[in-house]
Amino acid sequence: CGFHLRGNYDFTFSTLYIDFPQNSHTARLLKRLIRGMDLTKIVNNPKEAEVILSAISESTQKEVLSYNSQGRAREYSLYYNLEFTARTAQGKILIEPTKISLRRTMTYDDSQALSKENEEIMLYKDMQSDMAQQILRRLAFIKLTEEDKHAASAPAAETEPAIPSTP
Amino acid sequence: APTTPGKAKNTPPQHVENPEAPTILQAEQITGRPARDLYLDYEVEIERDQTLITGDHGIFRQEENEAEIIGNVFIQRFGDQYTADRGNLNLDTGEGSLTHPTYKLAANKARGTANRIELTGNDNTDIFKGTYSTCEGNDPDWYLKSSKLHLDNARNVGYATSPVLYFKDVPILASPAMTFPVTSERKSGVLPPTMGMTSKNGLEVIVPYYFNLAPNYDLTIFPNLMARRGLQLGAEARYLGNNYSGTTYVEYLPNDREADRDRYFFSSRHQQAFNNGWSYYWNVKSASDDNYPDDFSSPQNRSELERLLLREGGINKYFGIWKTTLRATNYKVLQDVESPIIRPFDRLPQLMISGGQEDVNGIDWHLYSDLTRFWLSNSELDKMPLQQQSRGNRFIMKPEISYPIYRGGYFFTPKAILNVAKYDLEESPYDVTSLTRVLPTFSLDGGLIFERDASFFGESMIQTLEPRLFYVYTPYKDQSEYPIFDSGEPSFGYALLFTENRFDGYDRIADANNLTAAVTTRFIEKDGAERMRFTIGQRYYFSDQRVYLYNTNRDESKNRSDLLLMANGKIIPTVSIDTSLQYNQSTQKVYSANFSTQWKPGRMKLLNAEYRYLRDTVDFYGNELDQINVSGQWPIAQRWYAVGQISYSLPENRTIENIFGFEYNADCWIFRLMAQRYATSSIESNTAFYFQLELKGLSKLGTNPLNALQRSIPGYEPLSP
Amino acid sequence: ERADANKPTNIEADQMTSDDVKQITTFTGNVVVTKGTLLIKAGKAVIVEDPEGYQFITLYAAPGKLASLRQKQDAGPDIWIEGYGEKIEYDNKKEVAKFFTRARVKRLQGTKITDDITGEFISYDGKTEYYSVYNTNEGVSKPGAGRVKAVIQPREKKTTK
Repeated sequence: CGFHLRGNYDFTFSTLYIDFPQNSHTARLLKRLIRGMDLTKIVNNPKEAEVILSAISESTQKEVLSYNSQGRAREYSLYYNLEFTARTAQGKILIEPTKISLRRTMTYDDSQALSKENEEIMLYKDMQSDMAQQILRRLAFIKLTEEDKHAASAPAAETEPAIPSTP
Repeated sequence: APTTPGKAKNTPPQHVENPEAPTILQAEQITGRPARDLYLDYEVEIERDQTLITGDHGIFRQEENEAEIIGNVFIQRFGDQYTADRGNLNLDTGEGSLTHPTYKLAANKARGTANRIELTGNDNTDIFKGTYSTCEGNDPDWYLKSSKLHLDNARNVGYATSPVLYFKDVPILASPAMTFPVTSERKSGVLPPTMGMTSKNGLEVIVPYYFNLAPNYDLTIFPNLMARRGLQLGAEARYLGNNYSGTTYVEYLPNDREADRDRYFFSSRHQQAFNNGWSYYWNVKSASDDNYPDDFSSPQNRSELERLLLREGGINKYFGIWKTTLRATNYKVLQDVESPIIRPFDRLPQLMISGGQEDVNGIDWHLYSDLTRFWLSNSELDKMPLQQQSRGNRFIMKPEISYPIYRGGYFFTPKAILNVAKYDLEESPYDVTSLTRVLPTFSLDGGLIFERDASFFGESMIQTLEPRLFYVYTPYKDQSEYPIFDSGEPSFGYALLFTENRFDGYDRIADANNLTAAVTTRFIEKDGAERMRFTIGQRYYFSDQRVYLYNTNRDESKNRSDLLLMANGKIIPTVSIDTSLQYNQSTQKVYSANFSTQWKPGRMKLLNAEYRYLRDTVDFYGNELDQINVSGQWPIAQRWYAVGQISYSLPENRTIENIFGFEYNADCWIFRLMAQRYATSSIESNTAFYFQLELKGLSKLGTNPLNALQRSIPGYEPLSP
Repeated sequence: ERADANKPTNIEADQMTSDDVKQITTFTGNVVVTKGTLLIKAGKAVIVEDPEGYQFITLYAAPGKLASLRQKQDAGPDIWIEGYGEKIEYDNKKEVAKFFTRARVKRLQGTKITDDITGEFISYDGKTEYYSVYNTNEGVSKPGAGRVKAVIQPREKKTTK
């Protein structure tokens, strides 16, 4: 029926810099997947990166989804929202700013508050790994052209001022 | 709430005039001495840099650089426009005066007529016996009439003395003085007043006032005059520093006439992180009495005012790969006599240590450990079912090690976990004082990813087929005498199918010898975005499950978990669905089911329809959830917007919550009406009507009660801030 | 400038005719009149002298050109007036110059223009520095006959306000 085992992602760029908030779990998972599949080299300096993936905004939200007839929260919706974009070191947009919002629902009861706290952590972790996978898939669709790479690999020429600055 | 405080620049652009600019005088006739005075007659026009003056006759005094104009005077300066029958203006200092003027300001198009206008230089304007309005045309729907109106355009604030506010020519408000923002910037000023009628408090009038204390912190106070109870003072302070942020919300009603005692509700959240790895936070709520939610829940506080009020504070320290947290948690319960709440345990204190590394030549390891004193007073313990009446200290440590293999077409993750637990109990129904438990867990998680080109509703996409298997083995250990502090049965779902322990928390380590099988198929758009996802999954138990939360609810032993069917995503860009079904084959009963669809054809146009069913299992009250929720937001006519939500409980065939809101958006004012009815306890429900008149440009962009709907209507877009 | 009054007048032109009875002399063709700081250029100049020796000069522009008059003023250091027009009438007794049709008077501080006035008729009284600018060349403004213009450059800030 036409299904074939997916080959390894082939990233068209050899270096990537991930500019996410410091302790972002999604960024850790994404790096783990990229290293695990050896898709590209993750660098710590944006200047050396052909592609810069940056998080514009990352937020979580917890809203009551349904109340029971005593007016007490019975289900919560947990949202994990991320807006990200990807560009070359020179600023050319490779992935337009994109918003992904994931949702998980969780039953709730006041007397199980502590256990629901742990469940919340589990569900957010699940959404973060789901987000990492979705970002990975979008990175695989980036088509970095040769001249992008050329521009990236010769940054020295552009940034150095031609005439030495007068003392 | 108004836009959250940020790093907004607070100094308005100064109106700078180019001192070098020449003055160009035109008229049908000019006589005089340029070094002194020039007299201009008929079709007079005087222009200099950003100032243009026209009129019938004029005198230009070179010495003072001042122009005097008589006869249908028009002055335009930095975007502000004035007409008058007489006027003079100093082109250097901007000072001048106009008799019988009309004006139209660049800032939020405010305009009006007056007896006299004094331009007092550096962007200040005094309007005497004049009107002020932001409505187009010369018959404004609303206008403010005052003996003196001082507009400080540098700070974008207007001060009116003895103003009277007219709406459709009917005076609706008079006060000795009033300030208002001249531009929509975050400026201090009165927010649109809200009138309300609630079944609990009768007539309510809320006139909030917003203090923009600094670019990154603000304070909103909302005095609320309740006919039946008295004057309640509410305040919300928000602040955002470069390494700290927080919100504090207070409602205080001194000697409530109905309950003749003070009533208050308080919620404060704060977090601060230092760059040496230390950070701390607190999240504290409190209320004066148990009936507070029945009497005072409002759209404003509904998200914070729960019956179970968390009070928690903690200190974190990162060092290297480790994070340690020392926190204390306590709960205040606003008891509902009809369906009482069992208090969760306090954690006074809890020390947590966690850390880990990834890809240490292929191996990931992670350790979580905590030492907690779970505590409840004797009186609280006695209220609990006997088998839960235990308290004391618990130490747990949970090292994990795994060797994940990720490839494009498959992944395989063997993992080993060790759950170590030691209890020193001071109270226990089984009069044991110390318990230790060490249980290993082994799991294998693997999956394949197949792909093919396919089309979905006419669009060519990539379809994946992802079979996944997850085997878990954990030996059995009798834990019936172990206390339950933070363990429970999580909601059934995809995430739960792939976690090793059937219970969350650390008090119950489920015996396991089970295999989860699941297949997911996704439709992926051209740019890699996931359009639609279908999943089917089930867990097979190769041996009976013998560990339970409590001995009472022994479920009949079943060899298969419930079947999970899920589908969510966008069928077509404007229609999305989110459905899941949990079906038990042995009992042939559905345990949970929800089908929700959303149709969002455009901005501020959406309809949600949802059926939610939840059979109660471990829940103590046996009240299942069987509801239909319909909600939406729709522009019903030119300038009219409607918002609504109904949640209807089938077993009790009554509505649990319904909200209707309307907003009429004229060019310079907005009228909002919101009717709301929701249960606040098993017998009490609160009916409330709120209406609000927002005069654009007069009041700050205020808190819009309809925005409280944002929480209950997925996809709701606030009509105006 | 008052000092011009007792300066010699010399006039160059292509031709010159004079009528001693009426004391009228007429110069035609590239007329240049200089008298102290006064400098006049025109296509044709008709000079009438009164018994006290004051001259009334009427200047006509050469076709397609404008007659011009330039003179230093007493009103301040290095202040000059330059006037143009298709016809100029200069009365050096009253020190009044009238400029007709496409008239323009520039007042200069050295070479920097401080006032630049244009109109169909400009009369300038040198003694009082008083201008009259009208939108028709009959020396009177008519409604709807267009506008005259004066461009005034900002003075250096006076110390005393």
